[in-house]
Amino acid sequence: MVDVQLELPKGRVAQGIVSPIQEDDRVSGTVALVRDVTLEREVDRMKTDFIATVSHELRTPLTSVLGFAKLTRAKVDQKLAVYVPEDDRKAQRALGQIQKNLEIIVSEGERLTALINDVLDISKMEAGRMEWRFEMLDLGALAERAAAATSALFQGDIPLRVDVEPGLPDVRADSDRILQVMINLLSNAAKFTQRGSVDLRVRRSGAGVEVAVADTGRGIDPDLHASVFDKFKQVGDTLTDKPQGTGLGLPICAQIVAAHGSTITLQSELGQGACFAFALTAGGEVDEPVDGLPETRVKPLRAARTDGYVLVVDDDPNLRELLHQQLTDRGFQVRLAANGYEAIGMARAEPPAVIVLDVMMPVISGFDVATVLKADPTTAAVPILILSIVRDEERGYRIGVDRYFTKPADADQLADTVRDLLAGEAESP
Amino acid sequence: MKVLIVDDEPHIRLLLEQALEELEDEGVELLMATNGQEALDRIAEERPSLVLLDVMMPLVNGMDVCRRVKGDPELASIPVMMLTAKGQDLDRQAGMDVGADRYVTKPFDPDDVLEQAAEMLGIEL
Repeated sequence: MVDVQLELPKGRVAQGIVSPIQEDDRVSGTVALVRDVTLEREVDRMKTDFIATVSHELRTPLTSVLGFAKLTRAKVDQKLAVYVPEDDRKAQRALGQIQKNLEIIVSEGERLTALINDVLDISKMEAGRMEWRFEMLDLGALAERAAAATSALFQGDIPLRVDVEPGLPDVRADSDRILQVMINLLSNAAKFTQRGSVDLRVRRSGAGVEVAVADTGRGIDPDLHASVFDKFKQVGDTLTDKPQGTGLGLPICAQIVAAHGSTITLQSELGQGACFAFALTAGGEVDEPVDGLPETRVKPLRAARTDGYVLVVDDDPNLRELLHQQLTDRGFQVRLAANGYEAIGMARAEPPAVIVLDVMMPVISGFDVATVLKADPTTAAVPILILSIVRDEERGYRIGVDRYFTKPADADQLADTVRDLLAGEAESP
Repeated sequence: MKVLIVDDEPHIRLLLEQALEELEDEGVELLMATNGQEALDRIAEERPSLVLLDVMMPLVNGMDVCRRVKGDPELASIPVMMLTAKGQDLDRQAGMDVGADRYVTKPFDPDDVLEQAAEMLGIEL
């Protein structure tokens, strides 16, 4: 099945799905479905903005609740506790209760903070606005870090056993996020295991590396396997078992692993423990626009200038300013254009050394700007770096752009690429 | 030495006042402002040694207060700690761009704010 996003005129976006019709072992045809998803994308964006606003509004009262609880706890412990007579049982009991109650307010406030952060994270991931930092990683070393970070959870009767196969290939992944997944799976395993042990295994699996967290805990009914990855669904009877955590841990793990082009699998029976696992492909066939491109798509660069200015084209004033700052800070001369017409005019008047170009802009899209500039002899040699939320590298390379980044982009990576383009050094991915 | 606390929420001002109580024991005077304009006035007349500055406030917001302070040669050396409910990278960058010296996200830990403030003032607690 092929699932692509297409740019339509007037800033609209369509989703195209092509899938084969299979009869027995034979493909007898294909079905193509093209759907205008502009409205869905807009709703997604509004939802994320709304959640960002709500999370901001929640933080203010939470700051008071948590802050005062912490201050009060410190005052009681350090200043008042000594004045309560040791032989006054009632007063001692009241002191103990006050200390315990404050402890509860602090820990519940911290849980609420985690929940707000998780909700913000998952809404960003769902709207495709999470900033990913992919790099080549040794998953074995990362597993050791996850084990160290969770060692406090395994100090009792339940040991954590780490088993890393030697000589594993590196994989392309976002280390902070994969660490978050490992820590989350290990914390869950610790939480639901009363007897036995927890195993963290990192092994070769086909062309990649598999990470598995297996426990000997209470297990999960196979009927409930799908729902453990649902938001706010906590397996178990919520009337008798006090829910722990935010109910977003596994859904976030699933989103993170999905962003690496993989899925989390669960094997478990009630009473038989549980094993969560995911595999990442070695060498990184990650759906990430910077390096994962076949060599043939990278155009040989004709421009070999090391001076000149970088033209940043984006209709969003904040993003324009951010790019301006990021590139200026890294030593580039930057000029700004707020739309396609302005960009074409500036580029023709004085060809820039590199153009950083947004796609979704009113009136004339970035793809059209690129087409015009690549067809004009005065600007044809200027390298163009597309920076867009629209994932359509195919179309970008077809019309001759030199690099394709998806927003939000890592500032250092972007600057490095602009520098390469300026110097005329085509990196070979 | 004077420290100016700027926040439109009375509870947060009280929280910061209590958090910084130990600095008072070291002879630091705590001053309050409830909006950005009042903050600018007090900074100009009191010349505090540190400003704890909220971002979202009526009249003049914290970003503008910081930008104006850091853009005024007579006031630019006053250290500013931004306290804000916004936690996204872009906001942090924006805070640094207007010249904030520190950036603390709400909900903050009172002990952490105290430690950072003491460090910025060069006071050993």
